[in-house]
Amino acid sequence: MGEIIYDSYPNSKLLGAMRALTGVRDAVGIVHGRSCCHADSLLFHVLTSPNDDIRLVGSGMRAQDISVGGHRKLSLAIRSAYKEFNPALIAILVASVPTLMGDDVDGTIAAMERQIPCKICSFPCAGYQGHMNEGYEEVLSRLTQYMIPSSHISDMVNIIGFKSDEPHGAANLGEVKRMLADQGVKVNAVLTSSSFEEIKTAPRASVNVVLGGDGLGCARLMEEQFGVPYVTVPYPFGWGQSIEFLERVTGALGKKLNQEIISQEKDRIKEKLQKVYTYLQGIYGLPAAVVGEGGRVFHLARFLSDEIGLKIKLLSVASKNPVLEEIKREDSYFEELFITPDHFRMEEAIRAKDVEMIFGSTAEKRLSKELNIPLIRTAYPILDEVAISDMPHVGFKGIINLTEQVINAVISSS
Amino acid sequence: MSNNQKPKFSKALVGAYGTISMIVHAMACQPAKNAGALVAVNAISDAVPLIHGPLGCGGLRKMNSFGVHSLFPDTPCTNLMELELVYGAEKKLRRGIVETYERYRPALIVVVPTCPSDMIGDDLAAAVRQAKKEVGCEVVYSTGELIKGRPIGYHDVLCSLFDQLLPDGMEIQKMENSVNLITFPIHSVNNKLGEMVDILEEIGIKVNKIFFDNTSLKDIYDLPRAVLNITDLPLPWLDRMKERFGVPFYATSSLDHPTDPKEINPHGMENSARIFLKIADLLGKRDRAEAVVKKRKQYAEERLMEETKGLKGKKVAVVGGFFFGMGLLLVREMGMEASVLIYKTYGLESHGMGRNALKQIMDMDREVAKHYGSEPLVLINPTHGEEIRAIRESETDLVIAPGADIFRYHGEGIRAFDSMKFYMDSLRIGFECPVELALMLKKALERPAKKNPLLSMLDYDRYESNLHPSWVKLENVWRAVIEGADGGCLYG
Repeated sequence: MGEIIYDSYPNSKLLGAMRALTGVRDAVGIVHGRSCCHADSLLFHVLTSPNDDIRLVGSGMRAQDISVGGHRKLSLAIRSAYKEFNPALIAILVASVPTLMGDDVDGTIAAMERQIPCKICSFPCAGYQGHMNEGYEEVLSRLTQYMIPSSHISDMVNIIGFKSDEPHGAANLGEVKRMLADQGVKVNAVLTSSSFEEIKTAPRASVNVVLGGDGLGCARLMEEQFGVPYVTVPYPFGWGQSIEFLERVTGALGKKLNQEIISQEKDRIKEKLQKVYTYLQGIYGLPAAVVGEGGRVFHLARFLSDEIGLKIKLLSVASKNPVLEEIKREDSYFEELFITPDHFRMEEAIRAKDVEMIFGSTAEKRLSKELNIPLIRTAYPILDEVAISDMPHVGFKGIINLTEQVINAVISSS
Repeated sequence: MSNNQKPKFSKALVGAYGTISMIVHAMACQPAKNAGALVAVNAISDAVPLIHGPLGCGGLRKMNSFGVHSLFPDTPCTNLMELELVYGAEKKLRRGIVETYERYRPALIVVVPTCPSDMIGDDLAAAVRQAKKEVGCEVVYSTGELIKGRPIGYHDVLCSLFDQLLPDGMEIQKMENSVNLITFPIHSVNNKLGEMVDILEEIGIKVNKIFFDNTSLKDIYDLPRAVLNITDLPLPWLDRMKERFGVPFYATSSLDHPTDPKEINPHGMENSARIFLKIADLLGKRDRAEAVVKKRKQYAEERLMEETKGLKGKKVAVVGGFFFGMGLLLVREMGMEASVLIYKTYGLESHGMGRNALKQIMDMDREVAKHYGSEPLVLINPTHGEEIRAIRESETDLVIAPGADIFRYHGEGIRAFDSMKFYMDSLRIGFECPVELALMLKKALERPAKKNPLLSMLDYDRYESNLHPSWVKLENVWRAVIEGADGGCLYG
């Protein structure tokens, strides 16, 4: 029999739903539950998102509400959230206590919808109801219910599977949009980093671009309901995957890749890398561990391995995603794959690998200190770094930024 | 052995997260019972918590509401599934305890229940009893939130430790003339208790334990050896020690007489002398204490007289409470004049403080200021502009304000001093504290205001002048929920 306990990564369904929802720029989330669920989700959100755009509130349930029900507090929270934020969408994330006590959340929503002119919906997010990716997928799929059927506009795409609180999220999205624009491709809605109105217009795009496989359920629903085909693309870390990303998008749109632009990008990258080639030679073959979410970590590891030349001794997936089984078959760029939600076992595995660098999240900080090796923060949650400069990790610009970070982390280490 | 060692965090790191930590301290929500429980467990270096709950509780619980700058290091959970929430999860808990022992090899496992396990009514005691036969360490279960008092969850763990680890009739080898100094583990004790320990030792009083300061399980067993606990406030688990082991406590602050500045704010020369003599009285060391206290106090007072020469008569505006904070030291010890008292009541009201209580505090502040020769102007929830006008018109020399507000005064060319930093890092019982404050204030008066803080170019709420408007919206929603429902979410 396997172990029953584990030291969980921040990997709950509530967190996944919150991450998807807070990317809807004019939505408000209400954590309907007790303080633990509300306070901790709020802190994760505040520490990984812009300080001036926090739209997550709570219903403030207490122990005594278990006997009388949480509808009164939830109604107050909905009414007040509407008054303060004037949102287009209010989403109630129903945590463990109201779920176990059978709180009539749907009844509360029905009553409030008669009073408040905005859409209100709810998501089951009790602690035992699933992992982060399930919460994320469920919110994205639900958003399709609000979409308006439309004819498709050529050369226009939606991006699905983006998380606005991912490391360097805003810069990453900017770089993806820039690369697409250079190829004559317009981005319509981003799920999720768009307003509710923009998301409602998603069916007018010609193709849905599914980043790293996250949000695949939403893309499938949109294909069925609105006839928008989708293409799953790698998270564009590095040169090869940026090209693959663009080829798949332009291919799906029936366009040819503009090679002239690609050639200019290549020249720019070459010019910069030339300046540090001695260091790149010096770190070639450096053993490293890469930890992260299923939708991104494989693509990051492929770039670090195939292009920077690191030896990826361990690739650890902290949270799964819909295409994990498919991606993990291509295993030429890592030595060992470890899929676990258990942070204790993951740390143990990294210790055993004798690596000299970790790519991961703030959760790996303690281990990197213990092993006295650098930690490059590339995975959610990053709670101990801010990113407000235009320094994407992905796309063509990301190649330079990540290379610079890796070299500096090594040569500035003690 | 567990590697659950407390890392040492720099003041800069803790300070950088200062504003963010407000958001979970009654501004937009409330720290939860499990956060309080984990703070207590995490403060015991060879203990590991076992969260008895679903994976959601385990993962979210990495976040430390009481120390936003760090994650809780080890938070294994029993990963309760839906079926177990129907049929019970005691067997799983028993196995979970055994696995936790095998993994971490701690000296102590503390089972921390969650809302789901509370609701299904698992018999934690039975599971722990069974598991203890299979592990080579102590196991304790917390009762969740039965013990009231803030932070919720924290006191439950401590009471559980005493109830379950230290049985009645336990043989205790008392250490004569010894005390325990009780602290709260998120506050740094490094520079706060040194002088107190020195003075007590000079009086002939031994310090048995500082609880918490690199505390291990063994230290908990040793706590009843002391004959007295010294604490800042009465705590539920100290009642347990008094009842069961005959170790009374002396609280340096008390809520019995909340209108008495001495009771609420036991700092400064006279108060420190009173407290040391009281402790000595309780241990029958009055004679020796008088000589020690007199010598120490006299030495400090001579230096204070010298250091306050440039401070006497200087005008200070104080933001955020007067006699509760360092205001009293300013007028009493430093001889400064309180020119303006500025109150931002929104946060206090979010903590559940009623209008009458607020008025009473303001009246007391005014009275205390008057007693020391000041007639300050009182501003309640002023706009930034109103504040600045009053500060300028009163020819105030220095504003005493929390760190998050300092830039507002600097941006207007007004000197300011960070009261929160002083409170967190320096305010303590002892004779050196006023001298240290005098030196700090002199430096603050000499140092010109920062000319052009970037923070001054940003957007803020009209009244909550250091908060972005969106945070005030979060605050408003929280207030609407707690006021509209049952008047407060302070206890869970």
